[in-house]
Amino acid sequence: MELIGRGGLVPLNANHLGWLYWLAVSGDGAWNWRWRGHHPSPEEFAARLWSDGHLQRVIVDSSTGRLAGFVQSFNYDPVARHAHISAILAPEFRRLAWPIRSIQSFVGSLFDDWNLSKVYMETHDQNEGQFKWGLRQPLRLEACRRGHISIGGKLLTSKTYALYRDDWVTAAHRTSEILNVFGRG
Amino acid sequence: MSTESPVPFHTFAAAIANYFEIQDLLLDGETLLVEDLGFDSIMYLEIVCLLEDVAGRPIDDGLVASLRTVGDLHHFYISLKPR
Repeated sequence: MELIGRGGLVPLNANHLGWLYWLAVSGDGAWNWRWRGHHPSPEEFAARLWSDGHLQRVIVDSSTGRLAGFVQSFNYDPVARHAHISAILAPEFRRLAWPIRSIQSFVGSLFDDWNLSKVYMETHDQNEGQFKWGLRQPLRLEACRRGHISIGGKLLTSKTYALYRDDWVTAAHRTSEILNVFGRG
Repeated sequence: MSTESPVPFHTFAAAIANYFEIQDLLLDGETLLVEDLGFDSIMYLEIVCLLEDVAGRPIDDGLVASLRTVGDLHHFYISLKPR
């Protein structure tokens, strides 16, 4: 397990699928994650996870062992050096710092270990605030499609954001600067 | 936990201002995070993450969210450092 403070990242395995399926299709998870309200069967869900996923990690609360969320990259293009990411957190772990740090660590590994130049994320009107909160990094709007997706009977604007490597490095440098002043633990 | 001494208020405030790109406002201990600096949940999250790195351990998000002024924030920061 890769530990980032209280959060841990572990590779997805078959034992996680039942919990992850529940997370993806229950509550607002169904609206906000990649299926956008479509409820796949467990078999379809598992097949798609493995078919287009690039890196997939389950976020674990290392203090209790509870599963907290999931983050994955997909549509990986090694030539253009980009990929998409999506993430979901169980309701009780949203708005906490440590799961977000796990997601950020995952994104950092895409830049550092996979040499990506940018990472794409998609969101929509109802999810944008939480989405930006969750990534806590400078995002650039790359595409905006008005009334593009239907969720719960409403047509919502779909947006594609990108996080660029240079922006990521700049943000990391800024963090390093302030920690040099404050003193690291 | 860091073995370095905590920085004094003016250094701490200057670092906060630089990090959040706060210009045209001189921070003092009474400067309000939300009302004066426009702190939102993202900025509080950033502070939690920074302070966790300072402390070298997880800290309670709720404690940080209850801080109202830059002075409160500095006191909290000092509480994370060894005396």
